[in-house]
Amino acid sequence: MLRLENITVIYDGKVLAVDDVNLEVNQGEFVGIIGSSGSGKSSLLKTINLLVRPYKGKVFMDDIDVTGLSDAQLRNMRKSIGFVFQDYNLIERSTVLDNVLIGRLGYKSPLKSLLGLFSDDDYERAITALKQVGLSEKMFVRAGELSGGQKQRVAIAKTLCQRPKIILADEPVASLDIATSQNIMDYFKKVNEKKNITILINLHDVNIAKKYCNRIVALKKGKIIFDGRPGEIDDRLLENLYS
Amino acid sequence: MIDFLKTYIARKKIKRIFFTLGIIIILLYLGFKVEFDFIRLFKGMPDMFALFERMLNPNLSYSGEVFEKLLETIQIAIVSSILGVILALPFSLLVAENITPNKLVAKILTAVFSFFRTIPGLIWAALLVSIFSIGKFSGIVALTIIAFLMSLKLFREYIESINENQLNSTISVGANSMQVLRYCVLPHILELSVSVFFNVFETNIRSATILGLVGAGGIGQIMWRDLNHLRYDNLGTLILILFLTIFLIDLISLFLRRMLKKSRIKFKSLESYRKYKSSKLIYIPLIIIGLFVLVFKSFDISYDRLLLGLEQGNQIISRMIRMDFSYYSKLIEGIKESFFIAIFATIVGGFFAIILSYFTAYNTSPNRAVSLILKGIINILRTFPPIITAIIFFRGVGPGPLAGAMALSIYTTGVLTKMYSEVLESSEKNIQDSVLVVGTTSLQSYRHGLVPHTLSTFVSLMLYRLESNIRNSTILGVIGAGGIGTALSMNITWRNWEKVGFLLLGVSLMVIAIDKFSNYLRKNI
Repeated sequence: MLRLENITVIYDGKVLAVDDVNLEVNQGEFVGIIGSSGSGKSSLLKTINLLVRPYKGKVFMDDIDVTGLSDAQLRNMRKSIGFVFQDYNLIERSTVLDNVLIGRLGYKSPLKSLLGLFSDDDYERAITALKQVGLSEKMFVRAGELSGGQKQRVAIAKTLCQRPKIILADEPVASLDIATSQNIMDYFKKVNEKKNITILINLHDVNIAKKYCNRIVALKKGKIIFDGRPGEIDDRLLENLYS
Repeated sequence: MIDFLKTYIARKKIKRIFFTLGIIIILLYLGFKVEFDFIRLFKGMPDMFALFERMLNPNLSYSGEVFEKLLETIQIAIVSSILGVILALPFSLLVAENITPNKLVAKILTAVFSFFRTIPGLIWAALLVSIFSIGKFSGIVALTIIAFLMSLKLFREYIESINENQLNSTISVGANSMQVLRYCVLPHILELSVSVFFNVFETNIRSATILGLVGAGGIGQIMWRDLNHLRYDNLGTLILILFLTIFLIDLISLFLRRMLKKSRIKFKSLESYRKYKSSKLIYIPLIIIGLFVLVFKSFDISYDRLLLGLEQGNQIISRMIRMDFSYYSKLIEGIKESFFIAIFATIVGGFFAIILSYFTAYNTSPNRAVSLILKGIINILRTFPPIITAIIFFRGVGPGPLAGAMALSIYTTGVLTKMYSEVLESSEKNIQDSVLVVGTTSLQSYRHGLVPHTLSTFVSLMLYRLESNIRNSTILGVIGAGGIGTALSMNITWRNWEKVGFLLLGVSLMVIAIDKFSNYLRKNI
């Protein structure tokens, strides 16, 4: 469903972040991308929904070239691509419910969204999504009052509200403790298995990657140096990866 | 090793001597420049005390007339603050670098607005009075400009501090740029706008009291009349009323801020939440319409007069642009005097503030009662706009820079002591304790612990005061208390627009230069 062809990302015309990467991901896969910081994981993930424009190369979603889309078409495409950040990026001053409803914006007409009018259907989806991450009782609480793990669950609910085919997650558990991390990863796993949503997740903790992912891609200096099953990872690879 | 230590000690001693001498020489020079004179101050004391005495015996029969003007003053402050904040909201979306639709437009607008920000409110008012005639309309417009520029800066800085991923997280659900503004940026700045409004309002209520000095409405108008008629008994009453009003408004504003912070609606069901959301669609437009009705009702100007004024304004601007550079010598003289007043006030204020702060901050003060009393006095000192304090000194020492320098020094002492004592109070207890545990007195722990620890903050507070003092020193001349303001207000009265344009450029360049310099220093301490 997702195909990256010769993706190269260069910042400010001189910093090479991603170096000619080719990658194909099938529907329903749970792919972990590992690598040290600065290896280009984040840039690679952000090129998929064009938060970062690749310097060279093409991104295909269901055989449509994302890099060639108009602005409106791109927004339409982004509806089906969920994105979860490390630092949650919720609107802390809005309620949890309003934050989850942001996931519906791609489906709203300009006037209705300007006035803040959401339909019964929107609310139902938002509440179902909140129930799925176990936070429905917090719906009227301000997002800023939640703990880190709860915030990340709200971010996941927001993404689910988009009805995505694929979820991209950029280090979603890097700011959380071990127990909370596992809890968040369990939600990703559940979403992956029950809804058959493809998941691409950046992780720096190899153990978490091994435990949850069914395919692992390792990046070093913007290049893929490993692509295979978790069981195939050995110490030599890890030494190379983090040296 | 010992030699090395000896040279270190010797150098340190020399450095300290030079530093102290340097400050003394600078102060003497500045004192000379602002015509500092103990004898004159001393001789002026009885007159100044007489004014205070009259304040304590207010002329109550006078209060009817004062009350009407007082309401007008408050109205000017409220209306201009509302208008300024509302106007600044859309502009902030345009000028914030991270969300602007056009970077070039944002840059140009920011440059124009920062130029406008260097012109003090009172000068705006004086200019507008020449355009739209005497009355509160000119005052409202002047303070709206000030409120607009002030809140725009606050909003812009806030929006620019929203990180990129925060915007990205809304973009990545497929939202368009309008939806990003509505759902990501707006919730942030709407809440901020309440506190921005109160900040702007507290500044504007002070400015509104002095607008009348140039005929732009409010209580300053009768103050100016009394000053010219030498009715010091009435002036005493006025100053007392002003003090009480500003004090009361600060209290109300503090109370409202606290209340708004606490209030939050608790929802029980989804239905009530959605009802609340859709009711917003009705009551928010109603509030905005109501505010605008209130604003337009307060304008005391006819449509024809407005058109005439706009035409006049056009002429004035075109004359201002053709600057009269032959006025050079007067400009330099005035700017120098303003500059000396500001520096003098900053150094004197800094000196007294560092001493007073020791007695004011709860954690350093030897006695809690002393601290409370000082807090009260300091709040009185900083309540008055410096130009009103300058009127009191003017009574004592007559015209010239001394009155302005004294007034600004007192104001700076008040503000700086308040700010620095708050810094001291919020500093970690361990810093003070780590010096106390070796067996020092509390004064020693202040001198060798807290002061060195917070010195960079103190210097940066002082530099902020310098920036504010430079702006204040340019308007002191309006009442004859020295600086460029005298030349500026006279030429506005005489309608020498070519000269006014040149003077404004000079003021602006000086303010920008000082801001840049102080910004540079602040980053490098």
